[in-house]
Amino acid sequence: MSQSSLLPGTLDLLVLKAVSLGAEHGYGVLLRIQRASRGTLAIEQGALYPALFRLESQGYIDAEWGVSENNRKAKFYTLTRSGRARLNKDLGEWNRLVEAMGAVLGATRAEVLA
Amino acid sequence: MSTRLKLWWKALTQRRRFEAELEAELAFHLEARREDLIAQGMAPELAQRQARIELGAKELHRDACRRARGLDFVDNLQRDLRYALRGLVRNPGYSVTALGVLGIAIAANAVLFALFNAYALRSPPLERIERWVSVDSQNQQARLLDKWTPDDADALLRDVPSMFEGLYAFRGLRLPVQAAVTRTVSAESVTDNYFELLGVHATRGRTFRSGRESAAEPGVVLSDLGWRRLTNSDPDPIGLRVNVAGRSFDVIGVMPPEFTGLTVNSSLLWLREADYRAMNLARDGHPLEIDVGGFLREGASGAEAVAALTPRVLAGNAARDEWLQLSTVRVEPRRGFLRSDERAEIILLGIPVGIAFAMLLMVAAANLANLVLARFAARQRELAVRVAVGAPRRRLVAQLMTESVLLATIAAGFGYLVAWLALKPLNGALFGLMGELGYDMIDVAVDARVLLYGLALSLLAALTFGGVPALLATAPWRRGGAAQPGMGALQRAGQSRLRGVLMVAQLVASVVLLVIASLAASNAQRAEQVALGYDPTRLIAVKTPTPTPALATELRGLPQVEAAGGTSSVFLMGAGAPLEVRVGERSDVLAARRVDAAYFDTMQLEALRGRALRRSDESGHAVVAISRRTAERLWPGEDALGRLIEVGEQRNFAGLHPGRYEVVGVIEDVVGGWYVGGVDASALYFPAALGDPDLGNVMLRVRDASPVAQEAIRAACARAAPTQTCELMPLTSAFRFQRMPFVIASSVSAALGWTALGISCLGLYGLVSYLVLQKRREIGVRLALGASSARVARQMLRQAARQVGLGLALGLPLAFGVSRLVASVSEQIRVFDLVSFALVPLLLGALALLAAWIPARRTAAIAPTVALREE
Repeated sequence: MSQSSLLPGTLDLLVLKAVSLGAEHGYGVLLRIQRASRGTLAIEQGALYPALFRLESQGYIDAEWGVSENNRKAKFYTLTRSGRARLNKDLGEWNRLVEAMGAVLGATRAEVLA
Repeated sequence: MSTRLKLWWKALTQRRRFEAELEAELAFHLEARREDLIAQGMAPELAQRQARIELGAKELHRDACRRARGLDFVDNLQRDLRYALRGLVRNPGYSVTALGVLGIAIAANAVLFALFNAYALRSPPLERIERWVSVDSQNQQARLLDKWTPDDADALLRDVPSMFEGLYAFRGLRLPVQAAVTRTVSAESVTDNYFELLGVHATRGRTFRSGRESAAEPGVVLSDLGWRRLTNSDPDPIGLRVNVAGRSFDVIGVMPPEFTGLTVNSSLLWLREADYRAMNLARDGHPLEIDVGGFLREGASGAEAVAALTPRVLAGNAARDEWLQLSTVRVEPRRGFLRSDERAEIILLGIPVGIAFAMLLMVAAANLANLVLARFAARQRELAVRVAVGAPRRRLVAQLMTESVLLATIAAGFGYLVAWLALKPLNGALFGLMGELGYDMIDVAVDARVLLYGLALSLLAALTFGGVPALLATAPWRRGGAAQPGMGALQRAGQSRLRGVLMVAQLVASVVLLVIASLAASNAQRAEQVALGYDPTRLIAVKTPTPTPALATELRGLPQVEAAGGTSSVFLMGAGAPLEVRVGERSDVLAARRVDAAYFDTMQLEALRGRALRRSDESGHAVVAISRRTAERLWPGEDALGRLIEVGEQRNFAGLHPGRYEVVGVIEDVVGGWYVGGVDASALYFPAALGDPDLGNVMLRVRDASPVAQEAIRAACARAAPTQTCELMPLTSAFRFQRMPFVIASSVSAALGWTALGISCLGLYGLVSYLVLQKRREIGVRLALGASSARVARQMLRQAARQVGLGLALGLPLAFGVSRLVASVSEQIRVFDLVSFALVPLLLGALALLAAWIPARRTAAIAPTVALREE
C-alpha cells in the first residue's frame, strides 16, 4: 500500500484527534494514526515529538508520566478542555474544507455555467 | 499563555530533568518500536537498527522539542554570552581599553545625572505628589514671579477655592538662633496647615495643628539637621527652649531626616508665619517673600484654579510698582526641589553641560565603534565558516551584538562604581562653599534612577558602537546566501571610510572640549591677576538688616577688629545700585553706594584728589566721592573736584534725596562687582550714617579672618542686636563665589577634554596599527620593489595626518562658535585667546600624530619575504 505524506498543517489536528480517544504515549499516538488511516498516512516519527511539546505548551494537551502496557515508564498525553474545543473547531473547519474541495473537484460543466 | 510560561519556566529552572525526560521519552519510543518490529518477525539487531532509522536524527528532534518549549532563545543567548566572554578574556588589550573608555564616559554622565536628579528630578517625600502644585504669577512683561507679597499670599489663602484640597504658604528666612549654639540659620515660617497638608509627620513630638496653635505658646519644629546642630542631638529635645531672633520658642517636634523642606536649601527649623509676623523683624526689603503651593482635588484642573485665583490678585495692581503688576496666576504641577524658574534656569544651564558630557560619550562610542569594526573585520573568516555550516545572518548579528552588550553592561557597572566613589568629593567641591557660608544643601546620592540611567546609556552606546559594525561585518551575507564574490573589497572600502569619519568625529569633539577647557581656565586665571584695589583676605562683611552705631561700637571693641565702616552694598557682591544722574546737559547711569565716613579707612581706600567722606558729611551734606574712572568719564581731562552731580527721583536708596551733590574727592578705582569685568566702570559714594536703613552691611577689617575671629564677631552681633540676623561674608569667600563657575567650567571641561583626547589618541593608535596589519602585503610589495621603510611609514602617517588635520579644521571653528554662544550669556567672558586657539590645537595635533607614529614605525619591522608569503 502506498503511503502519502501529510497535508501541511494537519499534524496537530491528527495528534489532537488521536489523543482525544484516550490517554496515550507518543508511540501510541503514532500507531493510532497509522492504524486509523490503514497505513496510508506516514508521519515522520521525529516530527511527532516537537508537535506534542508544542501542543502541550499551548495548553491543548497535558502530559503525565505513567506505566505502559508492557510495564515501562512512559509519558502519557491527555486532551485538556481547551484542547477539545480546539479539536472541535479544527474538525469543523476541516469538514467544511473537504466539502468545498469535494464540491469543486466533483463539479460538472453544467453546474458551474448554470 | 500562562501554560506556556509555566512550562517554559519549569524547563528552564529544571533543565536537567527536562533533558532527562526528553531522552527517556525518545528511548521509550525506540524500545517500543523495536519490540513491535521483533513481534512482526524481524531479527533483534535488525529491528534495533530499523527503529533508529525510522526515528531519524535524534539530536535534531531534541532541538525541535527544545524550540517548541521556547528554550532555543535562552540556549543561544547562553552560548553567545559564553563565547563573547571567552573572546573578551582572550583579547585583554581590547577589553580593558573598551571598558575603560566606555566606563569613564558613563561615570561622567552618571555623576552629572546624579546631580541633576538630586536637584531637579527627586521630590520631597510627599503623598499624592501627582496633585502637588505651585502657585506662581506672571507679570505684565510675561516674567514668571515665583513668590508673592505677604498681602497677595493672604489674598490667595483666604477662602481657598474648592478645586484645592488646600493651600499652604512658607517663606525662607535667615534667623539668628541661640540654643546650644548661636548662629544664623536657614529657617522657614509656614502657615499652620503646612505639615498637615503636605502629609509629613514628626518623628518626635508633633507638627503645627491648624486652628489649634496659640500665639501665647510659640513653638518651633526642628529638622533632623536642626536637631543635631542646634540641640547637639539632645535625646529629649521636646520642650527645649530656643531663642529665635530674640524671642523664646519651645521645641514641639523634630522631623525625620527625609524631610528637609521643599527647596534645595535645607531648613533647620520651622516657625509659624503668625509668630514670625508678630516678631516684626526688619526685612531685607525685597517685596516678594512668600512661596504659595498646595494640592488640587482629584479631577480638578489647573486651569479652573487659575480662573478662581487670578481676580484676587489683579485687584492690587493699581498700588504696585510696574514690574509687580500681575497679568495672571499660574498653577503648575510641582516636582523636585526647584521652583519653576529655578528649574528653567538649571535646564538652560544644563544644556551646554549636558552637550559636553554627551560629546564625551559620543567620543567613547565612536572610538569603540572603530575598535569593534577592526575586531569584527578580523573575524571575517570565522563568520564565513559559521555561515557555511548554516547560521543565518541574524544569528551572526546577535552573536556580535552580544559581545558589545556584555561589554557595555560591565562598563556600566564599572562606571557606576566610579560615579559612586566620585560623587561625594565632587559635590563637596561644587557646593562646599555654600556649606561654609551656612547654607545646607540637600543630599546628593547615586540611587536606582542613576543606575538605570547609566545602564540605559551604556546599552544605547552598545547599540551604536556594536550594532553598526555588526551589520557591516555581516553585510556580505545580506541575502542569506554565500558571500558574493567581489563584495569583500567594496565592503572593506566602506568600513575604512566609516572608520575615517568616526576618527575625525572624535578628534573634532576633543578639539572643542579642550579649547573650551583652556578658555575657561584662562578666564579663571585672569581672576588671579586682577588687582582688586583692596586686600580681601582681611575684610569681612557683616550683613544685618539695620546695623546701628551700637553694633559698630561693639564690633570695634573686639580685639580682632581693626576698623569697621557701613556700606549699602559689599564689594564683590554686586557693583552698587544703578543710579540715573545728570551732569550739566548729559545724563548717565552710574553705580552708586552709600557709605559712612569710617568706610574708606576700613577698606584702606585713599583719596587721589580732594578728600574722602567725613563724619560731618553724614548728616545730610550734599557731597559725593567718585572713583577715578567716573571722573574721567564725566569730565575727561578736567578736574572733577567742586563739580556738581544732579540726582533725580530714585527708588534704590530711601535716604538719598533729589538734588545736586558736590564732588569732594576722587577715590582710587577698585573691583567692586564682577571681577571678570575688571575695575568698576563707575562708582559714586554718597554719605550716610549707621542706622540709616540704606546701610545694610558693616565692613570689618580684621587682624585675621580665622573661624575663631568669626565666632567672636557673631557673638558680638548677638549681644548688640539679638533680634537681627547677622551673616558674615569674608570677601575671600565672595571672591571664591565669583570664581566658582570658571573653576568648575575649566576643571570639568579640562577633565572631559583630556579624557576625550586620550580616547582619541588610543583610537588613532589602534587605527594605524590595524592599517599596518591590513596592508602588510601591500607594504611587503613596496618594500620588495625598493621603497625604504621610512618612506612607507611616512605614507601610513600621512593618512592619519589627514584625519588629524580634518579634525582640527572642523573642530576649531566649532569651538569658536560654542565659546561665542557661551559668551553671549555674559559679556565679561573673553572668547578668544591665543593659547586656547593655537597652542592647544598644536599640542593636540602633535599628540595625535605621536599616537599614529608609534604603530606606523612598525612597518620598518616588516620583512617583505614574510609579508608576501602570508597570503
